[in-house]
Amino acid sequence: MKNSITNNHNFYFFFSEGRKWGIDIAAIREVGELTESLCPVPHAQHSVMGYINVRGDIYQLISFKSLISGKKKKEGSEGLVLFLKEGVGQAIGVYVDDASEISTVNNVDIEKWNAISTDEEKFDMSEYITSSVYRNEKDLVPLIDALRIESAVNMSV
Amino acid sequence: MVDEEIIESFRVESEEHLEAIEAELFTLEKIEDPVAEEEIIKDSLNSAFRAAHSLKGAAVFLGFSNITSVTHAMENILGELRNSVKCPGVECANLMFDSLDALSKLFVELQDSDKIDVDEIIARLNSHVDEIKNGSLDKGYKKKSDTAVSAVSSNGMFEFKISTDKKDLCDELETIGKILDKSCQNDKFEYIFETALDIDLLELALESVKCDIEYHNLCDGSDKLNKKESNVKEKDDSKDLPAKKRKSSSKRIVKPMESSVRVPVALLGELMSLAGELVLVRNQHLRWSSENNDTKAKDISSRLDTITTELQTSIIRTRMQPLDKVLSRLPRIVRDIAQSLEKKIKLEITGREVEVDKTILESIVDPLTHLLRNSCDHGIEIPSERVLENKDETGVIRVTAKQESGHITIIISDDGKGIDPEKIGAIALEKSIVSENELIKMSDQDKISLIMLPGFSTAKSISNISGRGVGMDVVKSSIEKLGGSFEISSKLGKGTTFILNLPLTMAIIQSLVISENDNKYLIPRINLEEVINIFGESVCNKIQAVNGQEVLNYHGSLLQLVRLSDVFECKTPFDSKKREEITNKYQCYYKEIQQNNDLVDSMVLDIAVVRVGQKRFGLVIDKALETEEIVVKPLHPGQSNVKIFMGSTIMGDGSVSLILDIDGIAKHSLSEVHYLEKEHEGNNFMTYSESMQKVLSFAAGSRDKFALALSFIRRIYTINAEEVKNLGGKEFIVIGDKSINVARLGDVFGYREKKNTGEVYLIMPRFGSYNCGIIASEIFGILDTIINFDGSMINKDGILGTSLIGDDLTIFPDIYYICEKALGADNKGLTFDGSRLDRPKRVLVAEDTPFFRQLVKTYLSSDAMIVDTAVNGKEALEMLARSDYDLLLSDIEMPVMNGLELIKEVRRRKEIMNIPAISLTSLDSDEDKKRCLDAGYDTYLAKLNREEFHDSIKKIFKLN
Repeated sequence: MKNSITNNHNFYFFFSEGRKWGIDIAAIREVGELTESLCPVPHAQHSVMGYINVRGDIYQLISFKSLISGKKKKEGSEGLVLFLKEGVGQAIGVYVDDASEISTVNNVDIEKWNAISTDEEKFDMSEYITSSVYRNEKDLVPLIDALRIESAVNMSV
Repeated sequence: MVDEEIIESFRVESEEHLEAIEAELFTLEKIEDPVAEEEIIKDSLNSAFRAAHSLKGAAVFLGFSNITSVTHAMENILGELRNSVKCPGVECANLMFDSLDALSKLFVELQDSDKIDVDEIIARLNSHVDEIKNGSLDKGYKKKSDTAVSAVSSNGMFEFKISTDKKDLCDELETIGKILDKSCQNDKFEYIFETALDIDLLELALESVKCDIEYHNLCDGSDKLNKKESNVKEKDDSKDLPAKKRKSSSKRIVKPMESSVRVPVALLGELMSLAGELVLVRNQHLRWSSENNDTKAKDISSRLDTITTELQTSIIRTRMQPLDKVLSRLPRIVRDIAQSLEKKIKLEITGREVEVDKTILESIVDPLTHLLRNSCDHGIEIPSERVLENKDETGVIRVTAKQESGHITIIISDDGKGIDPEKIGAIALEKSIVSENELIKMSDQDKISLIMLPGFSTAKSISNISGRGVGMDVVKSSIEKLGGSFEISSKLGKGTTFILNLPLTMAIIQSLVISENDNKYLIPRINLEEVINIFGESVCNKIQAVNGQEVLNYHGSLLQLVRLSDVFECKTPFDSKKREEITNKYQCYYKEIQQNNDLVDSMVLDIAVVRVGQKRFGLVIDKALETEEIVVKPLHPGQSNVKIFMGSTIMGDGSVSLILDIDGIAKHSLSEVHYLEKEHEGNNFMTYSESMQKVLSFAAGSRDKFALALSFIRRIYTINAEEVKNLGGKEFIVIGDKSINVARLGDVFGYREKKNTGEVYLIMPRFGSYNCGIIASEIFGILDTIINFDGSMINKDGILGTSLIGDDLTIFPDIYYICEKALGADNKGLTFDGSRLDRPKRVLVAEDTPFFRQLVKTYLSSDAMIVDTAVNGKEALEMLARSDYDLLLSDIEMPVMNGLELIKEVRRRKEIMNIPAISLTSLDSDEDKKRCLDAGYDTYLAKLNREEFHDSIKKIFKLN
């Protein structure tokens, strides 16, 4: 029998475009509101909202909805920023619509996601950053691989 | 295992010793009168010997046997020279330099240095020392005239007397030297001890032992050493005592307080970074206190500001190093090259003391070395050549460094043969870097600037001195990467000058804060020349379109304009189409605006005149706000592809702003090929080479200023106005045995020309068979100018267009039309009525020369045809693929793709292969004609017979 500690994972669940997503809480440094003014970066990838100053450090803010949709989407001002830990991404904040909750998920409810298409034309960024799926009684929640966020941004145009 | 820190310290110190030996060898080489300069010889030999000895001592201490052996052998030579006060001859100096090189190699592989073979250099050194001893190398040396300084025995070892309470010091001493004598008296132990270590190292080695150390058995002349090394003496008030007594009276060696300490560079970097953060906090605090109008906070801010500035200045200074660190390497380079190329070169260096940030200093080593090698290799001639040129057989290379407000300038100039612009042009042509047409339009300075393009090398073979194909472009890009600029100027036969402008530091920079689309951006001060503000009608008048590029009439020259908003909007670099699209957008906008006086009055444009190296252009911004000192932070790693920004920073209000990369913006938005700058009589001005033309500026009567392209003129006669005769309403003059018709611009354009008297000029057209010339009352000269034809004038009979030359509106007459008029030809008869065509015909004209393009366009437009133009074959091909045309009219000699390549490609492509095509060229041999027809043209026309031209068009469209 497996140890209950190793059988469980804590995930931070959030909403983006009405859909629920999860990210390993170990990847997040802090969650905050967007209070500082944003410096747009012309010529950057469409998902890059701009740079912000977080206590003297410059962070690159990523629009999660633009990243997964593959096109630039307008963001509201009510969202939240998930600041990733160093090592997960280099000074990156991910802007999402809203927070849901932090939940402990048992490993048996997580299924590995292997749906990445190798066909370039059918390439789907949301599939690329999804590492697994959490199956609960109501629905299926994609769990994103935080380590892939930075590379996903770099891959996008 | 020796501590890494000690090894690193040894490496750094050793570098200094090697540099010291090298510097002394150079001093000795310059000695011309050994008798008069004996003191200098002694000092230099002593210094070199001491440096070699210290190096050897440290190497012994750390167990590097190869370094020990080489330095020992060098020390022997220096010792012999010193004992006899001899200057090293050339052979000896070469050997010493080779030894220094060998040592440098050993230091590169320090940990494995004992595995490197040094037998050969040691054998050479030992053999040389024997030759000096035997006196077989007396030539070039000076005989001994004094006793040398020595605290060292003949075998190169120091002797010390060590007094201690410790019972047995033998173990410690025997690991680092040899005990010569040992005695004990009243519980005090005394050792006479011989070692290779100097007194500093010995003290370090016996750090844990309480003892007194003093020199023992100093040789004659040791007074000098005592004086030289007085910093290791406890006190110097005993200097009047005999040397021995002073030695014996010295106690434990106490060093004076050290005036400097070694600090790891990384720590300095960290301090610099923290100072940068403090600057940001200071900026934020200053802004906050001023916004909140809090007196107490303002006081604190003011103090914080002062202290931060001082702290920042001091920390920047810790990273500053004298240029001498780099410049001191240059004499060796020059010496070696001069020897290998058998040239005589004198190097003069000034400004060694100028200080620059360590990072910048390290980055300029390679560019400087390359430039110096270039001067030696390509610049300075061999002595025999110099003598033939009436020059001193010794060439001079001057390296001058100076600091000027926030940046440093390094100038490397030589009095060599200079750069031949024609040779450069020919090579550029051969390498297809430029086309023949582009080359013709280039000034000498433009041609010289070509050597800064990638892959350009004039060397016929690759040498290990310079010209390895990684030439000036690498130097240029290295300097520009540092935020600096690089320029070359040269006069054939007189010499070449390289000018490097560099910032003092890269971390904290002065910048101009600008606003664009409600966001703040920063322009580095080093790139900024000035900010100009134009408003009202001037916006519409001063900004013109030249070949699809907006330009500003700026201080009598044309400045290319780039709009920051368009740069931000368009992620892909601009091509000619994009540039034209942007230009048209604003030109249309200005035309609309001009209809409304209120709108015109309210127009304001801020333009930052920016420069990177030789590139200068105007950056149109929303608003210039203020200047601010900023700390450069790198862009996020994910944005490495974004080339228009060089970094980011946190502003005083806590927001993040991006720092513009002016070079990146230039590369993104301006055409590289057409982007040449020209130095002209001391004034810098930008030229748009494609439309840069040589024109003859003249007056006809007292009315207006006229100009003609030189390419349209065959000849200019100076005639006497009184010799012009009038017969039957037509004027003519007899020159030689020929009667030439005279045309007056006043007659054609309907103004009364004042009758000229005295000397006037008759301008004869180049093409066509017109026996006619235009009268000019005054010729102002030949100008290189940029032509921007005002399109609204093109349908006026006899006028190709108007353009601003300097501040004057100048008319460009159609010389052929004028001549035809004067000859009495019915111009209408030469054309055909285009309206007879079932629909307006679309003609594509491919021509690189703006005048011909305009001329042909004028002819065709007057025939009610729709005319599009392309500046080369490639552009024409693209246009043919995009739109339907009824006729292609093409020049043959064009850049990028010539007319023959164009027609071959047209005839190959199914969708356009049937288009009628006429070649229009100044190449008029039968062979040329055949080439054109063979390639696929339907008709061949020589420039520029108007009658033939219209006949051909008629034939094509079957209108007779």
